[in-house]
Amino acid sequence: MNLEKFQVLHRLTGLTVILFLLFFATTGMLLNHSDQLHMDKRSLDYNWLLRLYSIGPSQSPLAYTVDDAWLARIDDRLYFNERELPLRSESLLGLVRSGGVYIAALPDSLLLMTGEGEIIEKVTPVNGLPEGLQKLGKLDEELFIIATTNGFYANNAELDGWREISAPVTSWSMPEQLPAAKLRAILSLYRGAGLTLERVLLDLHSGRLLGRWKIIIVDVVALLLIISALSGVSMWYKKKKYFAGLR
Amino acid sequence: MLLLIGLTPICLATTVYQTPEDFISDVFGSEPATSAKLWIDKALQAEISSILGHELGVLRLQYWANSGRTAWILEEIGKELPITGGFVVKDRKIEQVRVLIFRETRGDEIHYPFFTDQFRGAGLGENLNLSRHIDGISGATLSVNAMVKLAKLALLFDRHVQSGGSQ
Repeated sequence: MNLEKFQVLHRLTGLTVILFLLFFATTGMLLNHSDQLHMDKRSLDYNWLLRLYSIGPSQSPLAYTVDDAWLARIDDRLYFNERELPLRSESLLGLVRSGGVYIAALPDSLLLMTGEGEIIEKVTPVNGLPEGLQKLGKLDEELFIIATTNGFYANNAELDGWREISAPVTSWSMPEQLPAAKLRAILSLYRGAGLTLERVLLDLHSGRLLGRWKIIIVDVVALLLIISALSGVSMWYKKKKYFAGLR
Repeated sequence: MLLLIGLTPICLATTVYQTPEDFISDVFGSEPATSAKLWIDKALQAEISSILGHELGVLRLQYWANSGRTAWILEEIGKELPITGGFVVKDRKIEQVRVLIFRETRGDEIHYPFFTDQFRGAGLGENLNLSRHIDGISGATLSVNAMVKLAKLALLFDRHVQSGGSQ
């Protein structure tokens, strides 16, 4: 092959490979600084991308409502209105409002919350919560009640003391259907939290997003890179020989 | 005083060295401790964040007190799971540290007295650091770090309560 043919081959392979190199170099540099750029905290919420990753709840949401406030569980994530709570739970037992405080029941604890979803206090058996929590209800304006495996107990939002009571007549907190708008908003939060910019960039950089085409494309790029490198060396060698012959 | 930060459920891999209830009984003996609440205001939350590297997650904490001694039950994640520690503070210095519940698979050496006894007499120095150095344990660095953070928190809360921050 003469020098001109090597030049054409080198140019074509070089131009093709440079696109991929720019892509890998850019994504690689970004990933190197993912911590500084907080990429692991930036969530992506594009439906087509989320579908690509099959991100969505594995079961239907469970929700409780009181005074226009909603507490929902999607998988193990908890949402109060449109705010995700900073803890996980596999189950949710109810929501009541007592003394101006929202009280949520989880299997192992009670959460006392403000109307904005800030957790005032988490009450567990260690600080006096009766064991075996099963249901949550409201006894009157000030007192809420829990049903446990050992009986019924009432308390107020200040947690002044658990008082055992017998067979109360009360309305227990029951699951309800989330309104469509609330469900959409909470699902958006759920999905958004599930896919970070870092994850997507990492999958783009590694080619994992391309699925089975990844190997073929990477093989082709590698081959072009080899051809480009070898044609470059050959051109250099031929030019060296040519100029040596001129002297 | 005893402070309780939302404790996680005890699972199968959990080692309970002492239940929090027993810790309280041990600390206060026959004298009943006074229960009260500590409210976390913004200034205190900022100090907590600088110690833990994250917010506490609750606005109010329950605690108990008696005869100027304060006892706290606090939790922080070592590597992946929370470690529950009991801390007693008197005269703004650590009097006693005990690992109550350990849930991680490695690093449980922190429950031995050779480690926990190092905290005795430590106070809260400048920049919210302990006034004395705590030797680490090879292979248990994250657990050690968690316990050091919790000791700082106990001293910080005690200082706040003693200066009138409790309710």
